[in-house]
Amino acid sequence: MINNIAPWGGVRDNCLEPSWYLANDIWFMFPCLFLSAQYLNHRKLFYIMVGILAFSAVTIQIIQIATLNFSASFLSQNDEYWTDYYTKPWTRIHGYLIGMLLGCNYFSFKYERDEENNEPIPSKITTIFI
Amino acid sequence: MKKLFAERKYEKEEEEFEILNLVKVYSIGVIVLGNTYYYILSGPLQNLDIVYEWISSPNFLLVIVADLQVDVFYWITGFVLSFATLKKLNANGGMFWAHPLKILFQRYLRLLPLYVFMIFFLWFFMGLIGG
Repeated sequence: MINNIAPWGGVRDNCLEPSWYLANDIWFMFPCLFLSAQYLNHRKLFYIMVGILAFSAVTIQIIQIATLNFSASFLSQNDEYWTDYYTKPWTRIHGYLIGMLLGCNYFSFKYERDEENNEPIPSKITTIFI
Repeated sequence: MKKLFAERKYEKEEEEFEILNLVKVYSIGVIVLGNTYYYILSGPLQNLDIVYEWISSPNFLLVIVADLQVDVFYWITGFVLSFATLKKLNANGGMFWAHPLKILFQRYLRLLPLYVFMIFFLWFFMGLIGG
């Protein structure tokens, strides 16, 4: 669970190198459980917290890119792209957050109904795309 | 364990989620392709000209962006997990059906058998089948 963020060793020293994926998967479950509960009880807070989480992750990424002096292509980089950047939770969380947003909105589409006309309530995400 | 070996991964009410299996299979293919080239490129190479030939090919773009394909798996996990969590929360009046740490532990137990199997496979069987 901590094999991808532990300062000692590194992802290359793990028993199973691709296990960083599972570590992230477990880490992301914390916000998923907490934020899903917020979606049901305090919807506005849910969107704010997802925004804060995404923004914080991007900020850490930018700091890391600037500090380690990465270029646009990983082909021109040393190994740090794979060991210090690629496997970290703040680098991979955005895909998870987008999935979570769509999952929550799909739940609203499928199970929540407008009390007046019994139609699915158009979600914020659907409204943006329309 | 029952769910791990089930033919259908999703409940009958969410039959439409089965289409995600197609996305998963496609993503697995792209990741295997990307990793194959990645390990070739990071290893010792005699014919360096072929690398320039690969990189200049437009089809090689699929290999270069293969490292981002893993995000599709996170996307699917986020989608399915948040949907399932909301469904259970909704059925339970907005409250967790068990302690959140217990839910996390259940998830951990679900992932553990495959993880242990893979460690065992790489430790013992990989050498027997020639790497």
